[in-house]
Amino acid sequence: MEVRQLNVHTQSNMAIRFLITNTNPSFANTLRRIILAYVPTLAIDEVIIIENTLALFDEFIAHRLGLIPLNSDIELNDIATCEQCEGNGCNACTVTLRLTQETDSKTNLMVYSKDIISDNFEVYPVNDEIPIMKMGQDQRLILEAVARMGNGREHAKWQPTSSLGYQFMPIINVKSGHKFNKQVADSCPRDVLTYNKENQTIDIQNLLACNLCQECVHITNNDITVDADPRQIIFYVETTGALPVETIITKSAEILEEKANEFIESFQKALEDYKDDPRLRRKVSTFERVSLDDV
Amino acid sequence: MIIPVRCLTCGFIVADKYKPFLDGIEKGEKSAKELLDDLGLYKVCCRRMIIAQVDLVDIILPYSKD
Repeated sequence: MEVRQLNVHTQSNMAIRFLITNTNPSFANTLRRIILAYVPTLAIDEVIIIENTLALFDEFIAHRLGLIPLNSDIELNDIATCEQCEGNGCNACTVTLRLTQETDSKTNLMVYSKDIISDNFEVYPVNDEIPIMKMGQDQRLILEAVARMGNGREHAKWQPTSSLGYQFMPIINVKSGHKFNKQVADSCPRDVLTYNKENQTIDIQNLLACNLCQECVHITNNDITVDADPRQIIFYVETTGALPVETIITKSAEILEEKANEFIESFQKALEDYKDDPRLRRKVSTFERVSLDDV
Repeated sequence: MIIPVRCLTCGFIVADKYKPFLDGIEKGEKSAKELLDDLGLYKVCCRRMIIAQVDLVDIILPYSKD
């Protein structure tokens, strides 16, 4: 397996596109699903509203607070397995954030994510300009929010990515010696093909932009063929800002390794149990050795 | 109501891009298409979040719980 970075999509390093060669779709899909479901990030999970005289409901504000991505590139225990507090929440597994705003009898006020004050200097909203709520005149809001680590299986607010996917490497074959017209190049919605006026031929200039739509195949009646190579996969990851893209990818591979090791351990344990306990052999259990004659 | 924090379909953060979009429209130098492209909203799902937004929060603003 070999990986090659293709390009960083946006100015602010929010997305990455890379090519994996000598691989298969199963591996790429495993990586994708682990990133979506298991890479942990930090998000506000519990909101204690002390005072709220706004026109907006408590639940509405709490929901919006939960969706704000917080910087998650820190070491924080998982609350479910935290040894110090046994799941009740402590400094090792949760971060408290505060928000206090008041308006006088003249002005309205938009409250932004930058107004949130965090107890931990490493934890802060990634985007400063997210509007959380709008306050009318003579209104008051005091709240305390508790952020914790979680993963995408629990709630989508903990997903580290906003766009994530892969595609197979396109293989475009243009029939050599054949004369084409300009319409063929124009038919491509991604500008992959260019028309060479002198020789009346078609050149491929931007292969990686091809989305395998087959438009050029239909228009030329198979004089151009477009195939996909499932052993070469173009992977695209775009982060919400909670974690850097590179961290998301390396972390997903680490989680895969952890899961594989866990499987090896329990599998070996099952083998030993089977050897040690003669009664298990007679029972139909979840783990049973089947001889080829039985099948 | 008020602009949603994330795109309902993909989870992209759209809330912080709404005000720059409105400001840009008011200036009138760029078209809505160019503004959306500049703000990094390249997916259709995120673009509709901004285009289809109606700010109703100002109407309910005076009604407090007192």
